[in-house]
Amino acid sequence: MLILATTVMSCVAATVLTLGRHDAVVSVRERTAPALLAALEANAVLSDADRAAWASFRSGEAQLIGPGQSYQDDITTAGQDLAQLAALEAGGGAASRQLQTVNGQLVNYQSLVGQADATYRSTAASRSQGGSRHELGYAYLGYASKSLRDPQGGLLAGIEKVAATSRQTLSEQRGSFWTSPWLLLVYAAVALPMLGSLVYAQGVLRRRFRRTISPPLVLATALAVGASMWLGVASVRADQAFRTAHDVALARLDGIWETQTGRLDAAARALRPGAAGGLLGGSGPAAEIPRRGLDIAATKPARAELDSTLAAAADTGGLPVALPLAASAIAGLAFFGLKRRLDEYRG
Amino acid sequence: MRAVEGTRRTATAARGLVLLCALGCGIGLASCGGAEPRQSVTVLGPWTGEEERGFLAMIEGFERETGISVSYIGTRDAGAVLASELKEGDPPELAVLATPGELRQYAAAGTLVSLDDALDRARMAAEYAPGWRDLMQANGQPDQANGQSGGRHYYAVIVKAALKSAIWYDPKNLPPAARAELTSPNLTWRRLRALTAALAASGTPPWCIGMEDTSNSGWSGSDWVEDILLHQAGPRVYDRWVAGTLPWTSTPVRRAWQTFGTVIGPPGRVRGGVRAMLSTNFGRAGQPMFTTPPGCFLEHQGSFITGFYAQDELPSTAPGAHPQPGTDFNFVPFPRIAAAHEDSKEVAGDLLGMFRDTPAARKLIAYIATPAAQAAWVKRPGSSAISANRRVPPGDYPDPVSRGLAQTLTASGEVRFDASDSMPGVMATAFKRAVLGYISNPARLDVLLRQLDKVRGAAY
Repeated sequence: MLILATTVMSCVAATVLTLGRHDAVVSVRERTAPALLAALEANAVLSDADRAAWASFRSGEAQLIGPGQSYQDDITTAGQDLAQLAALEAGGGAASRQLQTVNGQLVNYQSLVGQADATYRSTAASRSQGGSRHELGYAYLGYASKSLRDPQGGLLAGIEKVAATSRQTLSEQRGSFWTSPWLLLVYAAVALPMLGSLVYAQGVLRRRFRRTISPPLVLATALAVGASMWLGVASVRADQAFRTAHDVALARLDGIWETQTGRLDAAARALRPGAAGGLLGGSGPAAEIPRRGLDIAATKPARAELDSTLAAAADTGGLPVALPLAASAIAGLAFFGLKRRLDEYRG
Repeated sequence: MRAVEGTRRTATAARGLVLLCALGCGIGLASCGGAEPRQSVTVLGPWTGEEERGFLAMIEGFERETGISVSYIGTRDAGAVLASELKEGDPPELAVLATPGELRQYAAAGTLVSLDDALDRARMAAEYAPGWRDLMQANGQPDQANGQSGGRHYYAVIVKAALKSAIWYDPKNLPPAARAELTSPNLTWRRLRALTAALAASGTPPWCIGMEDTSNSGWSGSDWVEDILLHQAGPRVYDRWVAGTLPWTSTPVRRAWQTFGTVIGPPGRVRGGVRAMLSTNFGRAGQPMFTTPPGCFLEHQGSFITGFYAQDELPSTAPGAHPQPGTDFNFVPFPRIAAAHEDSKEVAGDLLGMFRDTPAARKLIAYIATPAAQAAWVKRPGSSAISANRRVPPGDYPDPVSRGLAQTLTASGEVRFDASDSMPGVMATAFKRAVLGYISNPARLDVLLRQLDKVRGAAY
């Protein structure tokens, strides 16, 4: 009875712990990490949209193509990223509310770029008839940039707040019970009662029935040790994979986005050099237009690494199926071994 | 004996499983029940930086007393964001409305919730002057069946007020003769123009002007036109203009724009010229007043600008020192243009309205209207906040400049709310855009005024 109880208990506990870890990693893989990556991408593409719009205005291309195709593509991608974020943050709460604000700010940003475009083109038309300069068009584009980049309540700052929420959640998940290396010790603690009861039963048989060993019980013990080792190895592997995903792959991806965003910010700054507390510098063509935009392909290797390591961390190695089978086998062997002795005793 | 032993072992095993389940609950396997979720309110507003800190200080006592958590989202584009969220049908519980025009529009559309049940009418009457109470009220949604007006209801509370008819200067940097002239009780528009011409002749542009405020850019110019019109043509003309019954192309309105043109038009009158005016943020435009030598001397701006001055750095004295009220900045009321309208003044305020009716949101609205809540913001040094609540003691204001502003705000005389803030949203936006267009090219005034009249035809 004791063996049966401890075996069932160990099996249930080990399965629950395995599934708990699996669910925690799946939550990171399917929710937290994609939310953070979508926020980082939205941040980068909007920085690029700002650069692209300025490049088009400063080069004079805006007279024909407005803020340009690159700007339009970036806005489309940002919209997709925000839609993905909205789906991931659908549960309401502060991040969800912040996201709604960000969506409103994006509409506002596009509206200001549209106003800049209209003003620029109408000024261009009047200039051809001896009209005024592009100052007002540049001013509107400056307002758009400010609404995007204002560190206090700007669009990018709003997205960064959403990203910070994801980072915080990720950090909590990284330090949680389910993804802790200490889970290995819990596995050991869970396996010990079962192993202990098997050893105890072996001792009882030896004392009461003068038998050195019971082959079924030895087999059951060997199976229990094997299952525990399997559990331990799978746990160590999953833990290593999760740490690699979080500490290496995700950090690398974060760094790539940060580097790209920094470069794009610098390019946009170069196109609108600050003047005496203002947003704008000269209104003539810039000496050199930074053309290099966002390189999303550069993030793909790190993204693939993150996906594969998170998949490895979420892999339970067949344990949820194997553990009940092993437990049944252990209980059956133990029952068989003890029944033979009891039958012998009754006979 | 064996049966007893077996039963004991079964019990032990069951206890073990129960313990395991308990362990599972403890470590988050499953919810084991718990306390009621904490109530919360989301507030969307335009305050960032020091203003945001002031608002957070205001609600600190509320959170402590009620246990309700307030989540504040601050963005300078709060108005545009709110409009977008309303369109999607998911506004926050509370949002700050910069204009009574927006208040009336949202109340009429039925998107704002009446606060009649949340506010004590007798208490509001005792604490707020009639003009301010009027600003917090609007007509409700017309009755769908008979089309009759929904009557006057409270739809917002004033979180903080501002005096707009003010001209700011640095007493230390302004030459003594100019300071004496500016602070003379007999200052008129004509004398101010002569004063600024003299300052410009000395080689330093007299005016600090900045239009940039992202999607709201241009309002500091529309404030100029409004203040000039109020003091030049008087409150009655001003009211007709705000109500949309006086054309933009009418003589008084055109004259106000042209008078504004005498400030920004002549070369050397505004620091940085057209480009700087268009691209300088309104909050930073006055910074050059405090440099040595000064980059400009005067700024026409609302009383909230003191919050921005207090964040500037004084370059020449101790590093990290900030301009101090009274010694580094002070104000004079907008000068007399027509003697009959000398006591007129333009004011503004931030209105907090309820878009989703929850008990927590009602409690917060009622709390913000109280003198205790209002005092929590105004007493913060450098906060720039002035309360419209008459029960806030003058001693709660932290310095003589803010006390002077509060006295001017509550003194007798014709008080008019910021015109662009009172106009329909689309008219206000067109007004601000026209100001930017006028600064960019003053020769287009006639075209701009005709375009504004076209918008007026559709907006009212």
